[in-house]
Amino acid sequence: MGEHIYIDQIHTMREYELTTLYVDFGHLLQSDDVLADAIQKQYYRFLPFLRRALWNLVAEHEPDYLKINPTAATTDSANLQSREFNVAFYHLPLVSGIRDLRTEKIGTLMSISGTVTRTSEVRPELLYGSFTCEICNGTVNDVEQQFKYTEVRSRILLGVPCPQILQPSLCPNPTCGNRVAWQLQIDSSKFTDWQKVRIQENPSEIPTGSMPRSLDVILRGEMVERAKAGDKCVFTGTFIVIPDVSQLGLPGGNKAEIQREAFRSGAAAGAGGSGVTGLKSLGVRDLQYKTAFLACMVHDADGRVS
Amino acid sequence: MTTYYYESRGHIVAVGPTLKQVQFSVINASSRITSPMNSDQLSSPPPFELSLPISAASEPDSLPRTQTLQRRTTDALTLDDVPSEAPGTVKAKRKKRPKIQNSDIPLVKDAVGESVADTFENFLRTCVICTDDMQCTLNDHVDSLRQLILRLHPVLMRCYKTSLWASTYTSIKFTQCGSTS
Repeated sequence: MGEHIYIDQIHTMREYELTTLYVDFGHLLQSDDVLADAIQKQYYRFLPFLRRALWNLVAEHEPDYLKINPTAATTDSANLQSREFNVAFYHLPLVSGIRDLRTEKIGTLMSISGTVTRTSEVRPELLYGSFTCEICNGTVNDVEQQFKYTEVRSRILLGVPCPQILQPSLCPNPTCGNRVAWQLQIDSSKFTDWQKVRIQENPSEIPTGSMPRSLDVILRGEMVERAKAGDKCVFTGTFIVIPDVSQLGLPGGNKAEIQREAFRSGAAAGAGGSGVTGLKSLGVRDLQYKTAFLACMVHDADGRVS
Repeated sequence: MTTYYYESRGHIVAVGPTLKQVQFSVINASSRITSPMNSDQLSSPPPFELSLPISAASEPDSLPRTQTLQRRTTDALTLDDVPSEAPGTVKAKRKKRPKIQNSDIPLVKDAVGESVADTFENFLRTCVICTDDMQCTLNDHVDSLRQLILRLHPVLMRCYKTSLWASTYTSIKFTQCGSTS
């Protein structure tokens, strides 16, 4: 006597209006170790394909659940949006510490343990933007925006232009050729919940005489608000490197950069030379990168799901 | 318009001055066998007076340049044994650029990713957890817990006895203190 647990879970997802499928990695290891190894080693590469596999399965077993409101009128583009489904892995055989993160771990599926020290507020993050050409009124849908939009949504709503938004590079209309004049269509764009959580090494894992290390963890969708400050949690996901666009949005730029530029200008004035100046006024900034952990699953270190 | 022929490297080369250029058309010698030239009946061609030196002319063996030259000569010099191309052939041969609907979303074609998606979908579809196995697993856990308790029992009993003895000893001591005081 057996049961298809993941098919049943898809039915449950529809019943409770959830969008995350929880997959026990132990099942995957038992069933197909080659697939488990591929997912573990190249998780970030295969993530869109895993989500598409889930989407296909939902389309097969719960086709009505694909759209946010399938009974809406066809002209109502906001309600006809398709849902974004996520896959969350848990029960990985190894749980690493923050100190174990290395370059080779980037993009792999792993679990890390840490104590939550700070949680941000939950904000909407633009996943796929929909833009309208202001010249020919053409529409470009599904422009991927990940890691770029969250910090500035309030500015968008206020009508303040934000350079962080990834706009279409060229209007698809061959007679238009517009590259700059775009209007974001918030109604037809896809957003998700987003939260940043700061975690610190567990006290028992800090080597003697060392300072505790910290790491930002990005939570999305149904994973937000699962970790509270003070909780000792295990996060499953991948170690990523993302552009630090928040520094670009600041009016004065990066503080270190300002100091560096001031030092350069002072040195140039002292030497009597006149180098290339005024780059900052042109909007030329250094692009900063930062590391973070993109988590697909959060649970307490003692095994309880928050 | 006069056309001259000469043989070079196993090919018969047709030379015809068109406008200000000297154009060459290369024809495979084997295709000319069907209509061989009779050198006795033909008058000898006049000597060449090329405005360009031979070295400046294209080499007959270089394929890409030959092809471009052939395309030119089909209009100006139409030879009987050269199959004339249809008007739309040149356009048909022209390599068409793939039409991309949205240039910002690249079409990711990852064969490995596709196979991973198929395998993962198959795993989700077919993964069955046997309830009997779950019961067995639960029983195993209970058994292992029982074994652990049995193994720890002497230690626990020793700790319990020690604490019991300590509390008894303390109460006795307090009693003694009370009685002495």
